[in-house]
Amino acid sequence: MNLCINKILKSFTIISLFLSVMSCTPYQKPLTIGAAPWPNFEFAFLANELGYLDKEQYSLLELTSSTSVIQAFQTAKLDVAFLSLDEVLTLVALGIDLKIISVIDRSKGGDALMARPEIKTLEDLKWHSIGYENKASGALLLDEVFTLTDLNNQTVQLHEVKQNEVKDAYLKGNIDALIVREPVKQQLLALGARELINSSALGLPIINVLVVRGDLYQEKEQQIAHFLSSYYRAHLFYEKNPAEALTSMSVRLQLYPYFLEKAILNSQFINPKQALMRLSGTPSNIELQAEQLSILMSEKRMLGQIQTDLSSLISTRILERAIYE
Amino acid sequence: MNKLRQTSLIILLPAILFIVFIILQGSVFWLDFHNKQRELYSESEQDIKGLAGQLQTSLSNSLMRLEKARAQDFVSTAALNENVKTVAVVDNNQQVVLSNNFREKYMFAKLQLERYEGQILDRVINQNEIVVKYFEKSKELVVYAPLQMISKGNSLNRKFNGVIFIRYSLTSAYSELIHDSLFMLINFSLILLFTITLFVYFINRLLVLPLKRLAESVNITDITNQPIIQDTGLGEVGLLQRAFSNLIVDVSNNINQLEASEERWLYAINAARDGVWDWDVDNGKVYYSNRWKEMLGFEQENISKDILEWESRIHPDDVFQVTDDLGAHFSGRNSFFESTHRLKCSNNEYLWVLSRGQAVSWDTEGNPLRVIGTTTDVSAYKSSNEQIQNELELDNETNLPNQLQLQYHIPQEIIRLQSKNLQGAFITFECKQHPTFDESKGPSYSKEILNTIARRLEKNKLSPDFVCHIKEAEFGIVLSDLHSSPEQAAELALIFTKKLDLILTLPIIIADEELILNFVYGITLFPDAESKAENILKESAIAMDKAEDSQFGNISFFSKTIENKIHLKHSLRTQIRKALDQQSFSLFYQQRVDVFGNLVGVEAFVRWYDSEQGWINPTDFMPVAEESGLIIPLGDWVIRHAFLELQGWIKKGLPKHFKTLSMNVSPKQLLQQDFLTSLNKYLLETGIDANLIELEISETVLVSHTELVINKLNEMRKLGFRFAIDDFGTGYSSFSYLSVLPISTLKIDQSFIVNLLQQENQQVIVSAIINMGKSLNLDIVAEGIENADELNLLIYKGCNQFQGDFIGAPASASDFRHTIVTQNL
Repeated sequence: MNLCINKILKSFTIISLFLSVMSCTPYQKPLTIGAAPWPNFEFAFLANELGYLDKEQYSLLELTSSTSVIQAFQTAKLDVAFLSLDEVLTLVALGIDLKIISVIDRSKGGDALMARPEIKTLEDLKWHSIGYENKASGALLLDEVFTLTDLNNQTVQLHEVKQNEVKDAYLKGNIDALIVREPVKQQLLALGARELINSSALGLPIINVLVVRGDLYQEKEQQIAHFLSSYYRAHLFYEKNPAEALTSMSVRLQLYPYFLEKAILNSQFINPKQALMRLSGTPSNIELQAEQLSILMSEKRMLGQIQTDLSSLISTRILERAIYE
Repeated sequence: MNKLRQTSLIILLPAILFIVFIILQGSVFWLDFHNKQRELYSESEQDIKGLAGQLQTSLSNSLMRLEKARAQDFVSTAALNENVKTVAVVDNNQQVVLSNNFREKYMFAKLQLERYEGQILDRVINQNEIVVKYFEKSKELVVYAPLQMISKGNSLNRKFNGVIFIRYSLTSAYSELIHDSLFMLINFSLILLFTITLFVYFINRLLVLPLKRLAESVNITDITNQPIIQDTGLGEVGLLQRAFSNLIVDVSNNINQLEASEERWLYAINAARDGVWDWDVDNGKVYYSNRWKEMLGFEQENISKDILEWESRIHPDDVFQVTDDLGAHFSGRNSFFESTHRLKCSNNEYLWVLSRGQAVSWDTEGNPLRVIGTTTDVSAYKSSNEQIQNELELDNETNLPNQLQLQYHIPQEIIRLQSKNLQGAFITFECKQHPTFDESKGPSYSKEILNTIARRLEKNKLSPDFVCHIKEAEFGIVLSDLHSSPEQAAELALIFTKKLDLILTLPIIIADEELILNFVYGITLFPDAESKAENILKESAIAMDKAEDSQFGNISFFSKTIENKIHLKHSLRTQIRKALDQQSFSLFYQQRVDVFGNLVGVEAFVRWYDSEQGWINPTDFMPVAEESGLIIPLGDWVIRHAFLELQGWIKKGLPKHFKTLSMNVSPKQLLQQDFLTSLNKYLLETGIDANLIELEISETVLVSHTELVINKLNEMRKLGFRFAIDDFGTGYSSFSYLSVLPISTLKIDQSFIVNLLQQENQQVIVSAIINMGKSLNLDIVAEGIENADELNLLIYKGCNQFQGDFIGAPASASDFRHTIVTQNL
């Protein structure tokens, strides 16, 4: 009889433990990933298109501008976001808990100030209107323009034009110059706009990174790592089958593939291992860059006080998993 | 089922709780889940409609201002919900204008948009209606909302030229719902498990363990040593423990008493050497104690437990009695079953046992269910009892029944004889020399004598007779069924006694010494009006004492009247013999006449004149002669002398109408073998024609030897003899033989004639006889006619011959010769 009771007690304990574990596991919602149009971000959508990502587990949200991405991330609509480092700092300054898990690329001309053909130099911009996206990295370029010229916000008329509105604004003709990003830049070029300055001229480069909400990166580490590896796998696919990949990607962006091809060339893709190197070390390359950027942005009053230790923004674990598993 | 009953409460109660919980919680969970699902659906529907509404406004504004980029922004933002799979704007050309999935833009909606149904577009646009569709299988809600995309100048007419298509998946929401509900369920289950664990712990601690301990304390083999029961349990458990504690004290006291009592019974039964049996009537099984088996010579195990084991062992002669005894108890006639019977032992011998028992339980119909009892070996008792019985019944010295038996036998015999209306006799006799031998030769010598007497007695008695040894040299004999008449009975008893005396007085050789014993006999007849066994014994003893003075030498009757009568008879017999020798008998003749007064016949009568007693009545001596057989020489004498007389008459000439000389023939005479021979001899001797002789026979002779008599009569008839039935109507009056017998005459008995004139009945009988005789062509003779009236009446009735004192009184031979002569004149 005692043996029987013991057996039953054991079974009960096992059941209890199992139930406890079950109850501690929260419902796994799909991982939401968001990105504004940018050539190297497209590989995420390509990975999705290629079927590398399980639709149940990953939800790719196609956003139109960096501002939308920032807002979505800020309001926790996104778990993972493709952003530029300055945008990341903006979020950090707002107190958003996040982690940089990988470095995607460095803009080498991908961001540019495009003006009507009649405006030939930066100086010509005086008393003209400039459209820019305040929260996006384009602001840095505008700052660079102000630095390089005697222009300031008194001498030019500034308008908030988000990335997706750029083309319409240009076509309407009521804005003289616009700070744009690829692949819109290619479209404006095709429309005859003049490139006055681009990101390759910037002292501090525009670096695009992949960030994860701070409360998720450990919990969904495996899921995120899989996304990351799928992303790099899509990039690999692009490298091996560029025509096919470009065709697929250009459909989404409503572009001609060769526009996209050109657009891609305006950024330096950082492969995962390099990315890991940039993220590793104390201080890491990215940390240093972020620090410099934050100083700059603070000086320019583009950024509030960052309370967070910048080194704590970086996590290499996911990237490591993505590379080595 | 038993296993379940033995399952511990510690398992059962939680299991029941758990099962109940599972059922209840499962139902609640299921209902709750469905409710939530419905709620979720309606909420989602509201949300999506709300979203569609918002988009209607925002998209309409931006699109009408041609701010397509902004509109796309709205679409993308709207799709930031993970459940929103598609947000698209489709124009009236079914082209996707805006979509959260950029790829779908400018594509044909029907091809690109999942769940999109083109035909709904017109309906939505034309009727300005939001259409919601739910796809059960994929759990998707689809909304079509009309959208005004292009401003129509100044017209206030709203023109819808597109739709907002939203595909909203509930899969994730439902999954989350399931997850949440499960989470709740698991939480509840965990709480329950924890509660059950606690419950089990407390049940174990407060209920099960104390009960187990209680059960262990109670479950002991030797309850006489009172177990110690902890009574520290809480509440009712404590109460139970205390109750058990008290119970055990009571039970153990009772058991101790019971044991003592059982020990007493056991010792008693062991000492009594009784076998105990316990019969389960319903199942037919019996528990036999070892002693029971041992009595029959069995080992402990080699006997079956079946009731048949017992039944088959009962002696066949006793089975009925045992069954009867059992039935008497079962039916309530006897409060106990008690039966003495024989049982077959292992060595096939029978043992006398006394079984006693009592049914201890009964069913509702009053049938016994269980009977318990003992069996006692009574063989020793039985054999000693038999010996005692024998001793009681048989005399030691002679092995004959003793006086006690006699006293038991006589009353039974009295009743029997009374019922049969017969007389019996009790004879007591004694060896007169016995006291002398006893004194002179010793008891063994006298015992030898007694034994010899006893054996001789036994040898010569008839089977229904009873012989016994009364005391010393005194014996008794009961003769039964002697005769209805006391005198005859006495006569028979006397004959038996005389015969016995002859046997008993035969010489006896004891120790080479021959001796002849003398006996005295006392006879008493019974039953009389006040017959009692003691009286009969006394009477015979008194008679025996007087035997030596008796008229029969050594035999005496208690009743002197009878003795005298018998003695008279005996002396009469002697006298008859003497009279025959001395020719003291003489023949008298009485005439018989016809209606005309002619002498048609003569009847010869025998008459005896004793010189001392004078004329002796024939009614006195004839029965004696008949009984003693003296009738044969007497009858022979009568016949011879009658023939000689007739010869004389013939010589002198017979009267004209004379036909017959008739004479009485006794049955004994008739049945005598040489009767005919002697008749023939006398016929030859006298030369008489047999036709003149009429032999009168009584009806009684016809009763016993009908065939023999008929043959003999027919034979004689052939020789010429005639026959008459004497005293017709008084005896065995069967008319049937009248037709077969060769008779010629019927003689109406004088008893009919005596009161003929006074009694009409007699007249009727006489008329009947006369008529019958006439029709048979027989002569009818009326005897005993004493006056003319009688004669006339008889003549009137048709009688044709007459005899009697009125006709002519019997006359001596010499006188009658004169009558013959007169008739011839």
